[in-house]
Amino acid sequence: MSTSDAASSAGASTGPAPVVPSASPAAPHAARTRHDPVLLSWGTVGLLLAALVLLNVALSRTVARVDLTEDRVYSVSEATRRVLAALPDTCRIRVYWGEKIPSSAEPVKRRLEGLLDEYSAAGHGKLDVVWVKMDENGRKEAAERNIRELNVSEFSSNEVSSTKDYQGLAILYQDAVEVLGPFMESDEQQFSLSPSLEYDLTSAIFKMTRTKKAFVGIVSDVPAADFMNPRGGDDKYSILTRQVLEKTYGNDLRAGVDLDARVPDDIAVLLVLAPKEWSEKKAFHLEQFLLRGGKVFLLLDAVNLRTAFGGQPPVKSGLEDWLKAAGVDLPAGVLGDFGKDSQGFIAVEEGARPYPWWVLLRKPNLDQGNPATRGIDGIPLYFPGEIVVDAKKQQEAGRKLSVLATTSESGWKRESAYGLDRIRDAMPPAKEMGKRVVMVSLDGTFESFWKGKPSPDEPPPLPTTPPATPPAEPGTAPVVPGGAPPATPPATPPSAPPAEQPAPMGEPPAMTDGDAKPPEKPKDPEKKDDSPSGPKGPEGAPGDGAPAPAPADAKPARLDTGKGVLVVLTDAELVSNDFSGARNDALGFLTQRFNGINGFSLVPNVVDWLTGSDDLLSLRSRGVTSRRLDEVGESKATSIKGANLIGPPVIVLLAGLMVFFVRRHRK
Amino acid sequence: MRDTLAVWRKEVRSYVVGPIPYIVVALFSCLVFWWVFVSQKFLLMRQATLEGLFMFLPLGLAIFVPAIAMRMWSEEIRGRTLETLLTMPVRVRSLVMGKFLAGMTVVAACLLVTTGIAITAGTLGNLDMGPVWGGYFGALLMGGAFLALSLWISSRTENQIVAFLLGLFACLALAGLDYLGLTGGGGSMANLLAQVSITNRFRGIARGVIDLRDLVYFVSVIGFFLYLNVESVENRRFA
Repeated sequence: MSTSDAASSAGASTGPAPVVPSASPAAPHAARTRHDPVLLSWGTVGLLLAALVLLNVALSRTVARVDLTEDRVYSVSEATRRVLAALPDTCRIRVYWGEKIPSSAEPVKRRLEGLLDEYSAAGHGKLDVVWVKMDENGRKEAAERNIRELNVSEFSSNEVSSTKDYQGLAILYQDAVEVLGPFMESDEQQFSLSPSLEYDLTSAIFKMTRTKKAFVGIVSDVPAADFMNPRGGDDKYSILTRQVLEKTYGNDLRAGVDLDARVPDDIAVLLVLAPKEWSEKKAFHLEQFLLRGGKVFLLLDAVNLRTAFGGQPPVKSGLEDWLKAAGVDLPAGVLGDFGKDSQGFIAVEEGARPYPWWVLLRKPNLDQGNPATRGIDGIPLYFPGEIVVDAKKQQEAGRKLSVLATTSESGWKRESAYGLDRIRDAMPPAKEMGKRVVMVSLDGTFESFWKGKPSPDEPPPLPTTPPATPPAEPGTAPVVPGGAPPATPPATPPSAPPAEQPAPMGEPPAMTDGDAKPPEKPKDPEKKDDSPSGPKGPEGAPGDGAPAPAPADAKPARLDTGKGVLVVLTDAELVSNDFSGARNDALGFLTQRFNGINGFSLVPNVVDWLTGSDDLLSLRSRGVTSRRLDEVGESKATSIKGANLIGPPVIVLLAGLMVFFVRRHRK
Repeated sequence: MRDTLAVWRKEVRSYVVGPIPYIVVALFSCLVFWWVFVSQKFLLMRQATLEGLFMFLPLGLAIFVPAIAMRMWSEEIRGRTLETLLTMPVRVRSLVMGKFLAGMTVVAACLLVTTGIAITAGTLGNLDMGPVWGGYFGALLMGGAFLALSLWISSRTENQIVAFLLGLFACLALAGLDYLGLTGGGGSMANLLAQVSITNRFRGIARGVIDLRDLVYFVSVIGFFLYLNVESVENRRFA
């Protein structure tokens, strides 16, 4: 800036301004005594520097940030914050990131750093995150903790290189250690953080630190004999129970839950394996559990190895009508998948042959928005059935319907379950093929199938003693023997057991034993128990804050509506001992016998998902949105490069030339 | 404020009439292009993200900003116009701020020419604008920090080349502190250096997260060096 410019900018007249020391702003300074300007100056600088450093140090613990990213990927969800805020004791996370992981994965590492920073901040001092230095000691520690190694391929202009190194983290809480990882996914040349990392991490911390456990009950009434795997024990699903679920849930697992009685109140999730010809009473108890807020994972097995290859008819579960009333229809027949990548393989004399009735659930056909089905691939189903859901009914009932798994576009339903032992089947007409649903989840309010009807749990009335007064289910009409309804609804409580009702599911009602007593005072079926852990029964365990136990002969109030979660999968064979391959693995590592794909990841995933607290279930499906550039051809790429290379400099130079010519024109 | 804006206008006018800023901006855009499209293989990697660009900016700005700032005070000192300037009824801090804003204008122009890459990524893919806004905002702050440092250095010497070289060295040192920590074997010193490193702070903002700590850091650095600049010029008044 020239002197003349300074003069004009200060509003003075043209020409250099005369220097008049007495009139200039500098004069007062010169008149004062300035001890040592340099010393004073450095002193001030020193003070200022110290103040700024202190300010930055003071703010170093403050977390005040705005996340501008579209998916808010650097911000943990409220659910995670709640879980971390409730940590009862210090939890440590040790992160292992191998040095051989390529530098192109640095963005993923930074994402992970940001996420763990947030976890650390949300833990309020109770969550300690340490990045382990991956020297020899670090690698040794990683190996000891069974941290998995990640195979990574890196693409350059003329070659593809592959490396392998540790990537994972270990969560340590008291004496327990949980290992997660790898958490990086690669898709050709793009690395991304696993979309389920927050869920996996938060649920692992939650499971390790929760004080109140969620019990898992298993219901399985498949006969003990397992001729295909004699070492499987006396339960066709013993491998699932003992080797998989027990490992995760330990003493929180209740195998052999009996549905002839009320489901104990401390059970939060019920895994029902292959129900067979269930009585109304069992179905009722299952339903009541659901209405009490329970979560049911129902694995149906209408067609299995024995029925398919043994020429037997499909198995009726006894729940068909109940499910249909809830808008879940199970049409007869068996599904197959004729897609090249969606068929299982069956062992024959010559080797392994593709077999369409063993369906492989591939990743694109699994709900990637659900934590239980996200990220898994190649789950085999053996003779699955189709599920047809009345979506409108779910909507009207206010239930959230999620289709968790389907066949590929080459799915086809065979009406008959006979003749499935034929290895080869003709390709069905293309127009009849399409995606068929095999797994759904319903979350919301259910209405009792027995609403307005006597409870199947009640003992049948004595046939020789007709009721003196009709049973008092207010607003409901009892059915007298013979099926003729009464003219008017009852108005007074009953003094005798209710009349026998025709079984709505086509089977006679189960007979109760002689010890069962009718209720002394029937309760309003619409009334729910107010205790925190649900209605209590004589067989139920008291929950926290439960009221005083009812008299031994008092029946708990039954529910006509309630909120619960029901997951239905039309195959149970996938977790049977037959397909565990346990006999081949002395270390207990489960492999699928025929095609080597682990079929034991889906069911434990779903159980794991269902046992999560509402906090975990409400975690947003957080992920790194796929942000890939469209593929461009050679010529388009050249045009883009040319535009970016030449365009900006040309624009800048043109701007300069324009200024030059404008100035010249003005002169 | 009026004085500051007047100084700013005049400085920008003096830049615009000369060839240097155009050459600087054009060179900068060529370098950015090479880095993004050739070195980082932007189209081949097919990632709709500007991480490659933002990875370059600490180094790129550390080189170019001293080139922008080198003549700002050095020329005044060498041409003996500074003393006359200081006799004007304009506060030193207005002079400093005006020159700083003029330099920031050139820095902003350098960043503006890189928006072609953002437009390309946005057209060809699903670009998350959060990191884009964060990245450019962080780049402006980082450019401001480098500029304040380079301006101060420029006020300490009458030789533009010396001003450029010292500024370059200082900016590269400030940008590379976290690398120094890592190569030094890690530990608490590495953590401290990472906290002071301008690159580390920039990366935090460039991922799309505006953290108060990073903002305070940049404001502190800019404010500190501008204050040093003011003191340096004031001391020349009494030299």
